Amino acid sequence: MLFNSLTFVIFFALAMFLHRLPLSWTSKKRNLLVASYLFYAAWNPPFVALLWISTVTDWFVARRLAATQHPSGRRALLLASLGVNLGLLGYFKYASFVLDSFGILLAQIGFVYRPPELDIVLPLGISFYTFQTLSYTISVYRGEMKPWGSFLDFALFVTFFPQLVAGPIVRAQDFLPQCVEPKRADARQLGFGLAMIVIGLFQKVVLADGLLAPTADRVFGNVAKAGGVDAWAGTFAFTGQILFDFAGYSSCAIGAALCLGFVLPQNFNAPYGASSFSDFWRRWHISLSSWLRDYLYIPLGGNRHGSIRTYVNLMLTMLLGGLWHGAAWNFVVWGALHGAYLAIERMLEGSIEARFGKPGAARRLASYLVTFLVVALTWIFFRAEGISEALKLFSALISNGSATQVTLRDCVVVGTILLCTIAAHIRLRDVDLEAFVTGLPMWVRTTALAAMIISLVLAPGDDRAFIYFQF
Amino acid sequence: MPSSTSSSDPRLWRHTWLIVLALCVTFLGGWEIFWRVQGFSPTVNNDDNLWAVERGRVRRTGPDAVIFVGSSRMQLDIDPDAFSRGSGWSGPHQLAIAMSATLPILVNLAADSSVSGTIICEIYPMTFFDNTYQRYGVAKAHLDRHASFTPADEAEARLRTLTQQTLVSSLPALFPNQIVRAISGSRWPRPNHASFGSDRFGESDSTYMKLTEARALQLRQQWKRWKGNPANPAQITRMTRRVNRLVRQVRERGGDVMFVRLPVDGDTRVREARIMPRRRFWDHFASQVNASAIHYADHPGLAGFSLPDGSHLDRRDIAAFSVSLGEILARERTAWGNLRQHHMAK
Repeated sequence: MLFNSLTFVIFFALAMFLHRLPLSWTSKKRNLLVASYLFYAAWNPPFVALLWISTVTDWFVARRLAATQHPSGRRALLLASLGVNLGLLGYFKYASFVLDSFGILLAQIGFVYRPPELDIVLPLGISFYTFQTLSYTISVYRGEMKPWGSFLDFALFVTFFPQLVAGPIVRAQDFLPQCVEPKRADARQLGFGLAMIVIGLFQKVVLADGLLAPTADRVFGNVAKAGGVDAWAGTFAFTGQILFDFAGYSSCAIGAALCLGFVLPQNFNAPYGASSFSDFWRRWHISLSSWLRDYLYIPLGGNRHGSIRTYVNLMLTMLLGGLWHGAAWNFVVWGALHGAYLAIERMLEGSIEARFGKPGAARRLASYLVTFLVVALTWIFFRAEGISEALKLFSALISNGSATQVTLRDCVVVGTILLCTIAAHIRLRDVDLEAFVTGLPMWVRTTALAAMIISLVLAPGDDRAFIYFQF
Repeated sequence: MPSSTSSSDPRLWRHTWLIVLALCVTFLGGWEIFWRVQGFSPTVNNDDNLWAVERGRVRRTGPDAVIFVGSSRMQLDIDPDAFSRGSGWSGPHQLAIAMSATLPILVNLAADSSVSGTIICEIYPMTFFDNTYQRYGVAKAHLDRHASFTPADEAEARLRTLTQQTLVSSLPALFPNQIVRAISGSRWPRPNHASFGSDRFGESDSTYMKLTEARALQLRQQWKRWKGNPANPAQITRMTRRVNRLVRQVRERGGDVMFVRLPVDGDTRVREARIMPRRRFWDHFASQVNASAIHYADHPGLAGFSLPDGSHLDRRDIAAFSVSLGEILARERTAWGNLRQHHMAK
């Protein structure tokens, strides 16, 4: 069920109504749990079983971990949890990719291997909820938290519908304590929560789907015919589309949770106002980048074992981060590029300031724009059908070809949206969103919200799924 | 880290949302009234989601079902209630798709063991006897949508149908980008000539059809773009054999298939007759197909109508046409049924 659907409006209204009835807190949590399973089943009922497997496995593993003192026993339990969760993820998401890549590799050395055609449906949200449950077991293993006493609370943590299918990836330490005391949104949470939902839907439906996706689809759907103008327009269109699509979803998820009285972590913080690549990853998909930092980069050694090892750890983390996004080599390349940017930035850390002094306004502006431009160009690997398509588009970027697929209107629309976005992100990079919205004059706040709602009601009903649903 | 740390005044949000609600109701209410005054009426969006819902309904029908398959002519020329009066058959279902080929849908229905009703299949020669399969993509897109339809998709499609039946704001012609496009082309948005119900049966109102001259120009441009390849006699024979296999599949389940050539007029009739003359195409097919094949020109009750755009009946004529068609199909089905029984008895 998409957030931008009438079905969700009715579903959410019912969930809110039940949540605000004078029922016991346990009953309310049970209602939310049932609602969450229904939310997931609306996509494909049998796959609820996978949610259940993940939930039950990690619940029992965590309890056994607390009862087991022997290091090898604890390690075995952790491996069991990793095996089940990553095994499910590996099979459903990567089986075909591994077999196809194996076939290609064998072909390079002269062996013909035709892998079987595996028609595997990718369960919605599997990359998100497996990482979420793993964070619980790993935290218990490390002694960072005790296993939770209530199975209901834990099951709700795994399946909570606002963030179930596309994040934010919530940590058990942040969510489970919220289940102890009854949660009911006060007027402020309800008001701002609804505003977050409207802003999120506007970003997704109007900006991403309505204004940017058509240009991006046209260019990326016919890369061979793209001229220079087409390539730049398509690249920037997708740069905007993926931000508004994903940030829009996160905004809806956070807003929906807030309306129910739960606080979810921020997932985007003005990423196109980043001053460096490390800053970008502190602002883009924050819940994933912090997960990778805490459960991959730091366990690998982080920056504690010298420069070379640090660069290797950065590359490995970003390579796996790229692979998490999709079972295809272009995502690996995308991740590798970001790993390279982070490594190079780390190498040059301090030396630029030592040579040129503290950055003034001009250098800061240049850093924002250069970071944005490099990130935008790297998105080409994310969106293209494959590496060769991405390389074709790169060569189109530097060709003299004129526009054959985009019109002047497309360029004006894309350019205007991107420029306004970059300016807003730079201006608001350190500003709390709620403080900003509530600080606006009443007439600005109400007119903007009304305009967003009206444009949502009147928008064409083009049912594009959220981009991150495919991960 | 929590995403909300601010502590704003709760009254601020109450006031904000009251004002926002008032602004939205005022604007959207005014928008709805304005376009109704301009002559627009609510109509269901005739898209692949609606088709998928109806295709799902067909799975739940029995041997009494009547299923219409074809192009926009089949969708706009049939009044289901009048057809039921004429034929005595109840439960008509509309699976015709505008700008689409018929055969892929017939193949899909024949392969579905739950379908055991009577399939009324339009033969539009320009797609049926065309070797380039130009319109197959449209049919395939609808079939793919149905195949991937989830319970949430179905619920959403039904909810959207409800809003589309109630609000003119849901009309595609009134989406902001369409209004901008119309105005920048120095045209004021006009209601579309075709309107549809939630059952996918539609009607065409010649009042809102473009002026005959403009429509004729549009049709001439469509003909210029047609890059089909008419089948030769051997290919028609092979295709008919394939159709006969599909008919047999449906009959084995207690159902039936009947073929219909719907009326055409004016320029359209002349062009279709020139590219695909009746004798070489329709008559060849009708003589070899093992099912009823009804050509409008052979029946006064079907032939005497004027078609404002050459392809579709005006809504004021579809009731009379549908009664006639229903009567003719009922007679044909009885006659064919008797003939088959006679052959089986031998």
